[in-house]
Order: sequence, then C-alpha cells, then structure tokens
Amino acid sequence: MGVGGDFPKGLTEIASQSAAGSNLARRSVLIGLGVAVSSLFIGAPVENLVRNSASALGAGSLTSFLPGGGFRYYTVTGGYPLIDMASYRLKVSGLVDTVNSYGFDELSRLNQVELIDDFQCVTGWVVKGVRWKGVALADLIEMAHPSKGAKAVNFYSADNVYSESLSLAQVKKLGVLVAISMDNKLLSQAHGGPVRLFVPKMFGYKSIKWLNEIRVSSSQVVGYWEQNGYPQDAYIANYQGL
Amino acid sequence: MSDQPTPSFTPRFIMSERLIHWSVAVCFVTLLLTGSLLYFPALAPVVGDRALIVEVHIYAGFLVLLPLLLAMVYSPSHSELRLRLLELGTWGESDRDWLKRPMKLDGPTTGRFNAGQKLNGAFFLSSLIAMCLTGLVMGLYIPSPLSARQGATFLHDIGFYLMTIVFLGHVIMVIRHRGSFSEMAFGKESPKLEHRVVKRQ
Repeated sequence: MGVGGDFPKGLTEIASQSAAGSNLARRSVLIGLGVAVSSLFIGAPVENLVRNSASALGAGSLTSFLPGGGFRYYTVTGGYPLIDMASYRLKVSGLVDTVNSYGFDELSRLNQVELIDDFQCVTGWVVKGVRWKGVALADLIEMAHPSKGAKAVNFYSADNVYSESLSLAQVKKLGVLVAISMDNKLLSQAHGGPVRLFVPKMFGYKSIKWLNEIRVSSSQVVGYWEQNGYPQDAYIANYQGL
Repeated sequence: MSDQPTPSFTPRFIMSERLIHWSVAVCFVTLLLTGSLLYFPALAPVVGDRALIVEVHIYAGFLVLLPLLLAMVYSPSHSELRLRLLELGTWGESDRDWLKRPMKLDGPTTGRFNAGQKLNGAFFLSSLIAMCLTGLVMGLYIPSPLSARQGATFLHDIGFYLMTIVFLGHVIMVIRHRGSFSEMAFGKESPKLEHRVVKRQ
C-alpha cells in the first residue's frame, strides 16, 4: 500500500508506520479462512475425540456442556402441536384391507422392539447411541393387510404440515420403528411425542415427529424437506466423508 | 507557544468508520439473538416462526462483513478511511510492548488504538469470516459431505461461545470508558490526546 504525499501529517505517519509493521488485518482474514477450512476436515474428528475422551474419563455428563451436545429442536411450524393423550389415535390407512387405529395405550401393549442407534441430523449434529423403543412399523402394516398395489408408506404429522415417506421395501429392510420411548423415557412433546417414527440409517428428517397417520400407498409423497431439495432416499452412508 | 500552528483535530472515528462499525454491530447482535433462539433447546420451542428466524439469521450473516470488506478492498489507497483502517489493522513494535505491560503504556505512542483494541478487531474479523464460511456449509446441507457439516457445526458452536464472551468484554470496556461510546455513536471528539489524529496545516 502506497503512502500518500499531501495528507494530514498524522495520517501520513500512520501510513508509514503501517508499512513498517506487520499486517494484522491480512493475518486476521487468513486465520479466519484457515480455521474455517480446517474445521471442515478436522472439526468432526476433533469433536469425536473430545466427546470420547470426556466419557472415557468418566466425565460423560460433561459432554452435555460441550457445544453442540444433544438434540437440537426443529419444528417447521410455529410450535409444537398440542396432542391430547386421551384422544390420540394413530391411523393406519390407505391401500390396506383393514384400516386400523390405535390409542397410545393400545400401541404400548403391542409387541415392543428396542434398538440403539445414532440420531444423525442432515445439518451435521449427531446424538450417539440413542435407545429407541416402540412398535415395528412392519408389524403395524402387516396387521392392516396391505393390498396388491401397495409399494410405499406415507407418514403425516399432527402439525398438519410435515410429511415423509418410505418405500415398502425400505420399511422391511431398515427395521423402522414407531417409537413411543427414547432413552427409557416416554417421548416428550419436544422430541415428537407421544409417537414419532425412527428410521435407522437415514437422516433425522425422515424420522417424522408427532406421527398421527400412516398411509399405505402406490407411490411415495414428496416430503416436507424433500420439496426443499433433500433426497428422498436419505441414507447417511451416501453422504459421508470428504 | 503562540508561534506554534494550532493543531486541529479530527474526531477519533469519522462517519465512514462509524457506519462500518454500526453495520457490523447491528448484524452481529441480530445474529447473536436469532442464533440463540435457534440453538438453545430451552429457547428453540418458544420461537414463533422458526423459518423467518432462520431467514433473518442467514441474511444478517451475508451482510455482516460486507461493508467492512468492501471498505478494505475498494477504499482508495490514499483515502482517509483507508489510512484509518490501516492504523487499526497494523501490528507494530509499540503493540508488542503494550502487551507486555497492558494498560500501562497508553499514550501518544499507541495512537487511536492500543494492542488490546487491535486484537479485539482482529478477533472479530477472523471469527466473523470463520462463522460466515461454516454457516454457509451448514446452510448448504446436502452438497457438502456429512463430516464437513459436522465439523462446521462444531466450529460454529465454539465460535458462538467465544464471540459472545469477547463481545461482552467489548461492552464492559465501553461502559468503563464512558467517552468511547459517544466517540463511536456520535463522532464526538476524544478528550484523550492520544486518540486524536493530528492534522497540521
């Protein structure tokens, strides 16, 4: 940067001092860029290392104070839908011979399946080893006797906005759960309670919250986020690594 | 003394500096508030229109550095603004001395900014750049790989905490040095001699 001639003297002095000193501004820009770019490559391993060593040191509870720990809450509407437990019904309808509907108690008396799996959000955060419990979605569909043209299962949320879908083959393959409990506690409203879906191996947006209708169909609906460009086959493994 | 030319003083911050400062400040506080609403589990559920908050956060992120970067790149190389930015963005011998004995060496050699103030500016420039880039990766979701998204989210979280702390420190310093607020807000002249840029005719 050149140093001017007929400028206020104070400022000219500043400029000549600047020429002698090191450029803090340029360095700041480079540090900002460097830190951001390296976070893309080493941020995830560093975070995992910190979390694992914290829990290895018996300071597992400390990890909840780490930035980014735990679930982050997303709704696509103004808030949580208010669901009355007493009148709640989960409907199984569509291309089925028997349309069923279950109250919460009826669901909890059905054969319960437990599985432990990570909850991975498409935005990057993850909750490791969540203990899910509920009814196998395949069982619910089986009990409704899907008719011939059934190829897909569509899901609808009590928020009246969110929808999701899976192919019938995916439902069978992935062991999808109609979850009523998480980490040994009934699902809270924030987590999509009383009943939500949990789809293993896929991003969290497939695991629709406040589930109140399962509709067997000949084709998959384009879900809320899928209308916004997310893939319908949301296998985490397809989007891993750099 | 009477035969000396009377020095005239420009304010510590000229209008263009103040506009840049306050545009960054307004965007930063907006980002801090909308980010907190989106991030904290306790606050997230009470937000009315999440989509709107997300949008405001993203637009503020695009705008926060724009005026400063434009000024750094496009201000004419001999303009007063460029020279003033240069003063803030230059690290010299006196700054190293100041760091060894903080606060003790404020005086004519430090000019308008001591080393602590320069580092405050450098911290915000670095971290805002890092926050904008990681935010961009977080906003792009699918085209970027999952590990990059996780890493970006992690840094964005850490940046949030660090910036909040440094920002509170900045506010505390302003409260402790009363005059500095009206210098930045209203362009008042600094009572301190060392803050003045001396123009000799």
